[in-house]
Amino acid sequence: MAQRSNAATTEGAATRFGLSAAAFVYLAAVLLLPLAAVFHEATRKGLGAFFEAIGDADTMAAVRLTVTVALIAVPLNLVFGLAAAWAVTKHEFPGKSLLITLIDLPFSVSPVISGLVYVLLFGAQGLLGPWLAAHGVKILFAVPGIVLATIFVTLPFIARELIPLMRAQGTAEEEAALSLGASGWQTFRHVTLPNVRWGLLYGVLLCNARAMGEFGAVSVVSGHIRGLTNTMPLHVEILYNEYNFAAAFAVASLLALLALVTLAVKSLLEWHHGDELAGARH
Amino acid sequence: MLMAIGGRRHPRVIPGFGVTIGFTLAYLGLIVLVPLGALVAKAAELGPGGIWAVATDARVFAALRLSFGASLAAAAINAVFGLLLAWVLVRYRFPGRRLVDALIDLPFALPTAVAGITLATLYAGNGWVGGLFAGDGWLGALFGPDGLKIAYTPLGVVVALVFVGLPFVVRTVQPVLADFDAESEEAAASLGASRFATFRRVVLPAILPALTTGFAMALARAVGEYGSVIFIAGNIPMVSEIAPLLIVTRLEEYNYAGASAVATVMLAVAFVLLFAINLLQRLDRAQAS
Amino acid sequence: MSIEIDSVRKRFGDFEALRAVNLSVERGEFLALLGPSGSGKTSLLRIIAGLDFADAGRICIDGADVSALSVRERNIGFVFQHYALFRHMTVARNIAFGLDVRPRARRPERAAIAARVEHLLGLMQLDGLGTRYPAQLSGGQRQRVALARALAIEPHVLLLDEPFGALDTKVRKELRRWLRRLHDDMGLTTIFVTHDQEEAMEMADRVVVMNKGAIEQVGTAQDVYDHPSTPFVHDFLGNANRLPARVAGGRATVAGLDLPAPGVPDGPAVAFVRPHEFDLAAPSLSARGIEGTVAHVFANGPILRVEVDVPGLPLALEVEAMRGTTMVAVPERGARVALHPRNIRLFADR
Repeated sequence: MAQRSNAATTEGAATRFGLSAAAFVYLAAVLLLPLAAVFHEATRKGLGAFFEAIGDADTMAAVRLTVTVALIAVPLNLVFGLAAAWAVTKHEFPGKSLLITLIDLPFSVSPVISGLVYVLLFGAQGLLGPWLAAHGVKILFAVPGIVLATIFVTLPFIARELIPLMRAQGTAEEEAALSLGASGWQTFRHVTLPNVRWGLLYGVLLCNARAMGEFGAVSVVSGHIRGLTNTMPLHVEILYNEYNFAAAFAVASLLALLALVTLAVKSLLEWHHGDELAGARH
Repeated sequence: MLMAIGGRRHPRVIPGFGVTIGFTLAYLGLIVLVPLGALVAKAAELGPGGIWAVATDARVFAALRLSFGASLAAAAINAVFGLLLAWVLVRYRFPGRRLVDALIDLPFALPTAVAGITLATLYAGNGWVGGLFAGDGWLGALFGPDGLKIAYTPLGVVVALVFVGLPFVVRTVQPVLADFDAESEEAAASLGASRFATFRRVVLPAILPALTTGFAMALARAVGEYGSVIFIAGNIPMVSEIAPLLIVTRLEEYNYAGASAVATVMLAVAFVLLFAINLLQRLDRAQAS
Repeated sequence: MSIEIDSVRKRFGDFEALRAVNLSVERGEFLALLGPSGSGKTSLLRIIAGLDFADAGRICIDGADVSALSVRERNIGFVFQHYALFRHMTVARNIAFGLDVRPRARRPERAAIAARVEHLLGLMQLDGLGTRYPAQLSGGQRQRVALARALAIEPHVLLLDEPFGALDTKVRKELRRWLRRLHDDMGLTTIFVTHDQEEAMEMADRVVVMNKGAIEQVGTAQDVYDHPSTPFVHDFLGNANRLPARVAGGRATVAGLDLPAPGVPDGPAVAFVRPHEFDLAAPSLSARGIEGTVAHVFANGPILRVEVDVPGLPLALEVEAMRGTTMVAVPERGARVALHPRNIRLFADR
C-alpha cells in the first residue's frame, strides 16, 4: 500500500505516537515478556543444567514420541487435506458447504473434549472399551490414542489452507492438462500440486506446530506414563508440577524455539509467496 | 468416474471424485464424527434433565460462569487492543513493522503448556509481573497493603485468555482495514468531519463485522482453552476452576457421565458461537459486495 | 475431420444452456460460433471437447460417436479463453506437456519432443522464448503458446474459446489473419467461439449465430449479413434501425410507407434497415420517403453519420453514407429530410 501522508486520512503526529506507543506496550507486555521469560527461566541455572535437562532419558523419550506422533498425524492430515480439497474444489456435489463446515469442526471443539470423545469410545467404560480389552488392543493411555487425538485436533489445518486456494485457482489448468491427454493422476501431480505447493507447505507448517504442541487433548488420552506416553508438552507439565522448574522451562524452550522457527518460516512464505497462499490467517 | 444423473450415465470431466470424496468422508467420519457421536450418545443417556442437573450443580455452574465470564473479559480486552494493533500495523510505517506483524501469531504457534507455565511464573507473587503487583511492589501499593494477586485467581485466567486470544481480532480486522477505501475517509474529511468523527462514523462501521467476528472467534477459543490456563488458575473449586478442567477432573474420577454432561453444555455454546461467526462472516461478505 | 452434433441438450439447474442443437461441421472448415453471452456457444464448444457432457444428444467425430469419451480420449486441441497455461512450467514445458504425459509406448523420444517444441516455437514466432515462464510473456505471446501447446498433440480438430478476447485491437487483428493461415496450412478443422461479429465475419468460412441456447442461423458471413433469417440475427449482426410495422394482406406499413411484404403473416411486424441502406434527400412530393428532422450530424473520417428524429418513432434513425457520394451536401442540424430505404427486411413480431 502506498504511504499515507495525506493530512485528511491520517492522524496528527502526537496521536500517531500515542497510539503506536500503546500498541507496542501492549504487545510487549502480552507477547514479548512471556517469550523472554521462557528462555530466561530455561537458562537460569546455567547452560549445564539446561543441557542436562534436555539430555535426560525421559526428555529424550518425550521428544521421540512427539516427533513420532507428528510424523504420523501430519502426513495423514496432508493426504486428507489434498483429497478433501480435490473433491470440494474440482467437483460439484450437493452438501458441499456442509462438508466444509464439518472439516472446520475440530477448531470449535475444546481440546479437552477432543480427548474426551476418544475416552468415551475406547475407555474401560467406553463403547468399544470392553471389546478392545478382550482382544488385547490398547488405544487409550497408549500411543494410538495420542496419535488419534492429535489427528483430531490438527485435522482442519491443511484442508482449510488448500480449499480456498484451489477454489481461487479454478479448474482451467486441470481441464487443459486433461485435454492434452494427461490422466487424472498426472494432472494432479504435474499441474495441481505444483500450483499449491506453497500453500501446502504453509498448511503443513501450522499443522506440525500444533501437532507437536498439543496439550489438552493429548493430556486426556495419554495417561501420563513417563518415558512411554509423555509427549513434550506433557513432560513440561510433569516437570513443572514436580517443582523442577529449570528442567520444565528447558523443555519448554525447545517448544518455544519450534514456535519461533514456525513463525519465521511462515512469515517468509507470506512475504515471498503471499499471492500463492490462501491468505487463510485464521 | 461414472455417476448416474437422471438415468444417463455421466462421466465427470475431472477424474478422482469417487476416491477423494470417499476418503474424505471416511476419514472425517472415523476421526471426528463417530467419536463426537460417542459423546452425544453418552449425553443422550443422561437425558436433558440429567444434563440440566449437572449444569446447575453449584461447582459446575461456577466453572461455566468463570469460563464464559473470563473469556468474555479477555475477548473484550483483545477487541480493543486488537483493533489498535491492526490500526497501527496497517496505517503506520515504522522500522520492524514486518517483525511485529509476524510476532502477532505467536500465541497460535506457542504450545499452550509453554504459555501456561510461563504466565504462571511471570504472574506469581515472586515473578516479574506478579512482583510488581505484590504488596511491596510499586504497582501493588495502589491496591492496598496486600497488593493485587493475579496468579491463582480468576484474574490469572483472564491474563492467560488474553494471551491466547490476541491474534484473532488483529487478523480479522487487518485485511478489512487494508482494503478500506481511502476515498471515503477523504470524502468525510472534505465534508468537514474531524479525524475522530471520521473514524467513528465512517471507518468503524465498515470494520465492525470483522471486529465482531474476531471477538467471537477469540471468545470461542477462550471458552475451550485448557493448557495455558490451568497452570496460572490455581484451580480452586468454585473460585478459579474452569469448565475444561472440570471435565478432566470428572474423567479422573471415572465419572464419564458427569464429564460428558459438562462437555455437552460447552459444545452447545461453542456451536452457537460458530453459527454466529458464520452469520457475521456472511453479513461481512454481503456488505463487501 | 467432420463433426456431427445431433440434438444436443444441456441444462445447468433451471437454466437451459442448449436446446436440441444440431450442427454439421465439414472437414477442413473454419467455423465461428457467434452469439451474446449466455447464448450457449461456450457450452457447445466445451461439450464438443468433452469438457462438459450433454444431458441428451450425440457428438460424432468422423462418424464415430464420442459422446461418452472423456476429454483426454478425444484428441482435440482446445485453447482456453484465458489460455490456462501451466504457470509453474516454462513455455517449452507447457508445449511439451501433452507429449510428456503419454504412456511410454506412445511417447516420442526426448529428442523428438524437443524438436517438435522447437518447430512449434518457430511456427508460432516464439523463437527464443522457450525458457520463459507464462507470467513473463505478453498477452499475444501467451495466446500463441496456448495454441502451440494445443497443436503439439497433433489434433485434427482445434477448438478455441474467445481466442482473442483478452488482447488489444492491434494484436488481435494480426493474430486473426495468422490463425486463419495456420488453419489452412495444417489442414485443421477449427471451431471458435466469439461474441465479436467482426471477428466471426472476417475469419470464418461459416458463421453459426446462437441465441438463448439455440442456433438462429448458419451460413457464410455474407449470407447471414445480407439475408438474416430472424430478427435476432439482424439485430445482432451490424447496426440496424428497428422500425415497428403492420402487415395486412401481403402489404406492410412502415413509418408511413406502404411496402410489399410477401410471405409475412398479418399482424404486428418489425422492419430492419441498416444505416447505410438509406438514401437521404430533401423532402419532395414526387418520391415519398420517411420524413424527419436532423438531430445530430457526426462526421467521422470518410463516413458521415446522421441521426434523424421521425415523429411517431421512439428512437432516432441512424443513417450512414460515405461523404461525397449519396448525399450532395452535408445536412445541417434541424433540416427537414426524407429517408428512402433501399432495402427493408420484415419479420413478424412475436
